[in-house]
Amino acid sequence: MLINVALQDGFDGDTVVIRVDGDEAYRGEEVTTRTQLSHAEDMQLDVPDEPFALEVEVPGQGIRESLDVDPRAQPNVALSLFDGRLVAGYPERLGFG
Amino acid sequence: MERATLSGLYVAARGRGEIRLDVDGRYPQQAVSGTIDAIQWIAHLEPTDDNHWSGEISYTDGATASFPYTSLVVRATGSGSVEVDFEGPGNGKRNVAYERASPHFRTVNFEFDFQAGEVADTAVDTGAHPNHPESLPGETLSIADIYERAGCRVTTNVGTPVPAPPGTTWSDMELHDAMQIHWSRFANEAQWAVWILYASLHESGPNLGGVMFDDIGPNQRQGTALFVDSFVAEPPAGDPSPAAWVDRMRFWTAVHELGHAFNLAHSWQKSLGTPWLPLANEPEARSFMNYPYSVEGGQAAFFRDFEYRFSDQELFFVRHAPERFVEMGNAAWFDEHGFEQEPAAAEPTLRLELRVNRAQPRYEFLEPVWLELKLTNLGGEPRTLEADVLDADSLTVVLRKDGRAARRLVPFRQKCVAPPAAPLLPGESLYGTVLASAGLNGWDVAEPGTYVIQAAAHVRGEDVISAPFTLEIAPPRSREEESAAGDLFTQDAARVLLFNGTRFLERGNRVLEDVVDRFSGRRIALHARVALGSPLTLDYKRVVPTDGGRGVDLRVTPARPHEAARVLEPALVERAATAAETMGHIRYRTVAERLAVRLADQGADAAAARTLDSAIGALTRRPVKREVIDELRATREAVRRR
Repeated sequence: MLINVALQDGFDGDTVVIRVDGDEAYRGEEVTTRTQLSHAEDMQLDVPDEPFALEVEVPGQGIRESLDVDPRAQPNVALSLFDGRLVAGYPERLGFG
Repeated sequence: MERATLSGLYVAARGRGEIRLDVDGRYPQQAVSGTIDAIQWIAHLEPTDDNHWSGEISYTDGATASFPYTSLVVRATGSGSVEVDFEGPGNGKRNVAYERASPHFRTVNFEFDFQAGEVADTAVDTGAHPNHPESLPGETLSIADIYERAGCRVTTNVGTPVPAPPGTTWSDMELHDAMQIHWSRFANEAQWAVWILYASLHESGPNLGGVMFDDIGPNQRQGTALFVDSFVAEPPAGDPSPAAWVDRMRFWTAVHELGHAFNLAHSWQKSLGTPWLPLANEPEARSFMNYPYSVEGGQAAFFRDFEYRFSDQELFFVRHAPERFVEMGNAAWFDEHGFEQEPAAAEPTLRLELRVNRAQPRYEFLEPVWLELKLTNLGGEPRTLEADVLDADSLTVVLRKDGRAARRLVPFRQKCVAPPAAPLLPGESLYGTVLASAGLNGWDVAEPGTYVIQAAAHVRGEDVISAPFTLEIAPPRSREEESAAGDLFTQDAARVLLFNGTRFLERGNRVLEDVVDRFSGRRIALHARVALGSPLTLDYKRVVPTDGGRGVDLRVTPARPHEAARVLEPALVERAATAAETMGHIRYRTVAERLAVRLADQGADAAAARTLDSAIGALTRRPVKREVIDELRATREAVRRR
């Protein structure tokens, strides 16, 4: 099934790698937040129909963290970097402005 | 009978400052802020009696060295007047009376244009959707009403359609172009005005509900867009009143994007970037600056408690932050600090001022920017200062063009000497000049636009910081001027202008000769004439290599005083008043006196006399200290006696 993933605050020219159960599903270069939108990139990822590990790596900021995501309950994942940490939100829909 | 509110804008007599008193009315923040002597300050207030408040001054922006106050008392005296007693350590006290000028803190203009075929709906019925706070009054609210409640007097322009074929989507650049073409108030300058376009969709797709697209160039935050066919037009499945949901969401988005134009960040971003004050994130705030979908419980929870307002810290920012942080086109988006505030002495005894000798700090294109510095001993004791404390290489000068990062002026001349020290007596001032236009890292104050300049003098371990000084460079008058900039804005030309001429940097001289020929009526020509004429007043010495570099020889090129006079007089004699203004009084006096003495030394007595007489005449008609005129007269007399 597909989930929506948004890279939101805290990205500044970063390389971002997202893995689903260990397999690379997204790689972005020069990912940068546009602060008035709290938005850097968004994408749809094909994921299993059951809980899976969503790993996010931002080497430039020394971040590599893994989240347990249930795609049926969490079809939208918003990822931000605050104070050197990955912060995930699961809004009922993704929209920016 | 309802009591009239006291909150609003008050002004002091003779333009000596203003305050924004915020103690009642809609969403009072119990604060007062203001400007006095170019220093902006803010205090939180506690009521002490009927119509009396007191508070600590918690924020200052500017030359705090000249603002020794730490607390204040506010008294509303009736009939629209307010008195403020500023108090500081020791005997520092100042009383200022203010008259009410407006019930609002700011005045702003909104223009709502719309893509052809769309509608700019700028109001909402707060009771139309059943999910709202029980206590929320049912009323029709306009976008203007929201910002009125935030403390702004809002004027609006009648919207006009922006032609676009059906199915058009917009890129940010297209939106920016449309703003320039269709916004009736568009200008490349800071102004309290915003344009909003009601468009169909952004090119990035329906996930973008709106955008403050204007984050490029020097004057940001002037343009916003609402995408009426984006996700904001997609009510959740099963919503009991989908049409009202869409109306409310569009309204929310329009107000939200305009909030970004006021430099308001999202509710969860308050601590990011460079906030003007340490701010707390408000991820659950029911504010126009939060995303309804992002709070705990989602949009239904958000709107259940949403009262169509901004949070208190957002209101505080809009009402009380220094104007340049909030005004559209001024501080860059997300950049709420003009300059970081450096620690100042607890009881400052020195004040540093930056100034220019003209009514408005506006410069012609190509005109070099010479600033004057004045360092004053405010204390009761003499202060020992190094003689070079106001030399460019002793100062820290920070230059900032709107929309760009601040840069430090790197002066051409770096001394390596131990300067003598001398006392500055109480009440005395020391003066200096600095060329702000150019340094070793280029011409940083040259392109058209608005610049903020701030200087710090370093006095034996104490940093004395000036208030930010704002100046403007006008656009070129012609393509010819524009093309001349490429030749003038070079290191060689800057050095020739700074050091009053050379016979060595031939390329720089050629550029200045060209400037004199092509732009004789412009102010740059006066500076160029001084730089070209000055070396001709001296026997000019050059060290040249001989014997294939094995030796050196000193060659002297004789002075050409009469040729020098022909070059200099159109600047220093015929346009003496303009020269005093464009060079500044200190530099003009120094240049005119020095060159006149040199001309006299070379036998050009009449030219020397004309130069001094013109300087005396021009400076006498300007606010110049009497002793300066007397010193020039003494020089004139000495020349006459030769």
